[in-house]
Amino acid sequence: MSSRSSRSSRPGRLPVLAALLTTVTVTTLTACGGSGEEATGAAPGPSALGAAKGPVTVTLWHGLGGPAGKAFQKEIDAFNKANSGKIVVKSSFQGSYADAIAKYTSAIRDGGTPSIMVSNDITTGYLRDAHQTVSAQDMAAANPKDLDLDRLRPAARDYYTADGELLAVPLNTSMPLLYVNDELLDRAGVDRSSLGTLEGVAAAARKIHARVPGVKGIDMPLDGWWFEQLTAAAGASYCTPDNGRKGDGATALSLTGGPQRKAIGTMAELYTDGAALNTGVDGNAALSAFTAGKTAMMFNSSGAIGGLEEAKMTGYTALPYPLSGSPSHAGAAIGGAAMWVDQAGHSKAEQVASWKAISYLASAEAQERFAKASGYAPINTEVDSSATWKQFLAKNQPYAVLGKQFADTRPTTATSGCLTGAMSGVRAVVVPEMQQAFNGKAPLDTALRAAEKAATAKIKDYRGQAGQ
Amino acid sequence: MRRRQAGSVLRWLWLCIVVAVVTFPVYVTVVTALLPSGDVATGRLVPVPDQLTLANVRAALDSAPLSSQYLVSVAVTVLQSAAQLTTAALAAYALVFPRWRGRGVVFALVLATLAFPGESLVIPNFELATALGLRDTLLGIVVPYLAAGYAVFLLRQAFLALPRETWEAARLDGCGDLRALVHVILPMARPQLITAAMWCALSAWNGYFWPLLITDSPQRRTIQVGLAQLVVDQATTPAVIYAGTLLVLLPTLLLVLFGQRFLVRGLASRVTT
Repeated sequence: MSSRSSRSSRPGRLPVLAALLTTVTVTTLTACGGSGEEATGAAPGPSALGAAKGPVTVTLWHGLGGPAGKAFQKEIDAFNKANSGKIVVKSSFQGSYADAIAKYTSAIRDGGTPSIMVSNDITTGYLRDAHQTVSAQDMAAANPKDLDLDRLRPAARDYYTADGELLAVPLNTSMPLLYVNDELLDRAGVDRSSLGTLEGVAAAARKIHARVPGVKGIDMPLDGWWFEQLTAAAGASYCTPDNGRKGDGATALSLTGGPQRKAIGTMAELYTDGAALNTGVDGNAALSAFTAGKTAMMFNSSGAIGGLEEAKMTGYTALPYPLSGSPSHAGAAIGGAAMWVDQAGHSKAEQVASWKAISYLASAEAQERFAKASGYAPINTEVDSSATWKQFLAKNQPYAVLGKQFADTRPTTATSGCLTGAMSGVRAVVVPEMQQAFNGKAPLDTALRAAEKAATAKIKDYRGQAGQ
Repeated sequence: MRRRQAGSVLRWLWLCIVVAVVTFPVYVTVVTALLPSGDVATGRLVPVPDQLTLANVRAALDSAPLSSQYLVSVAVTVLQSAAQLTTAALAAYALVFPRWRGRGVVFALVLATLAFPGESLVIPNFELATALGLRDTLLGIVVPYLAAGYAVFLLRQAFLALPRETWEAARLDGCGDLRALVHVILPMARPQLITAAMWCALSAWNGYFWPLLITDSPQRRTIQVGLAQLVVDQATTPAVIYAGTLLVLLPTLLLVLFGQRFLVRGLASRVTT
């Protein structure tokens, strides 16, 4: 009997899904109470696919909607056409990334996982700990004629790497950028060369607010990704030790280190002093304020380029995300999603067929077409030498800036971002505390300590559940 | 006299404010869905259209198989609502009219189901539905929701408010339980029955997470899942999302508009314990 509607109302669904995931994680990760098996085998090679009788069906789950979803499906169709009679990829949209991972978690328990799971950046730790997949590193080694991992953009490859092993192949990558309204910057007399550092951006925001009536200096979405970006751009680790990338993994969250405190504090002061406009956690709200000329600058995802085009905004420039730490180890961290090969419950032929599909989707040709249609940055470095891609960048300045930033970002501990299976829970507790500080309702240091404590508790809980 | 007039003016003023608050989001949704995409992100709180277009509606229909998903949603809504009303009417009748020991305990158990968050039932339901071979089927979407505790509660309260003598007279005239329920009890509880039907229909129409979980094929999914496919974190197109929302909203809006009289009467009816 249903106690209530089967619908989970969308605004409040994330905490519920997080709770659901947490509950199921206990049984899934400790492999009790479910019938799910674990991935234990070696990566199969080409002979496994050669031995298959008839076409091999590959199921793929993803969370790409809108134009990106349509572009992705086109590539799947092209792959199916090229592999007619041998491999059939059946892709299926599974809602938001949060919905998709919740469904995947449910499917682990009854052995109904897809052959390929496309999941977003912050689920990397969880998927690693679920032991359902075979690593991309092993699949590439067993299938040397398919995807060459050296062709993957270092910053993206590094994000999905733990202990030197590539876990999944990045599919779609976004990065943070600084967007500026050219006319408003000119009116305030801001020198663009000063916008390469966070201090320079903060100074420019104050100048704009003082000199241009009715216009705030800057806005940005106050969601979890941005505190991670401020940390990476300060050259610091978001979780300790080593951003969870080595050995035993992350055991705590770090929010109170010197460089981090300074970077987050710089932004918080802009808000409390009235030089920045608080548009909440929604990236679209930040974008709307920027396109309406209420703010002269905006931190937003590279995905906002499409939103600005949709709003038919002209007279803006995209600039690289500013750093507050040394360029030798600081930089922006990536966002987006990656493709995982499921092993548990899937035949060897299916795993090799999955790898073939992933190799195709990560190829230069497919990545170029997908990037043009979706607004994501191509993750294959071979795209850089494509004449058609160069023409595209010449006509699309923001994408050129994104591509250059992506290529220039060094794979360091800071830019690889925090790897923990508790990442969803971490974001859920960090954001409310930060909002208190940015709204001026709580002192920044108090909020940072509270967020750090709550997030560390989340990480410890998760580790306990996962038996780590 | 003057005081009464002032009170009347204040009441009307209050009602106008409430109407404005309730209809404002609907107005924003409708107008934004019909705005040219470049006019959406103007930063205005109240969008004022210079021109209207159906381009966003066309884009929404092009982005996901919304038309086939519409039909699935209609089928799910009809099947689920009919099943819930049937089981609720039978359960409420059994809890009110025949005298038997343990009725109170059974009703308490029905009420207890309201305390469970739906999400806590998702995993066991998913495993059971998978074991029964109901993955990616229309039946799989509906089966876990064939009964609804709230509908049982609503109809039980409605039946309690009816004169018991009527039921007894029907029984004396030779009516069986099923005939007494269908021909005597339900007609007398029509407002509450319609209220329950509307609640069941709205719940079924708005179902999102379970249909997403249990289905994989785009053509077997509901309109709510299709709407989610319009939402992206890259190249966001708010106007298209509003257009999709408008398409999803229309049936529920019509249902509430035409059924609000019964909804109010049903919800305002006397609660008896």
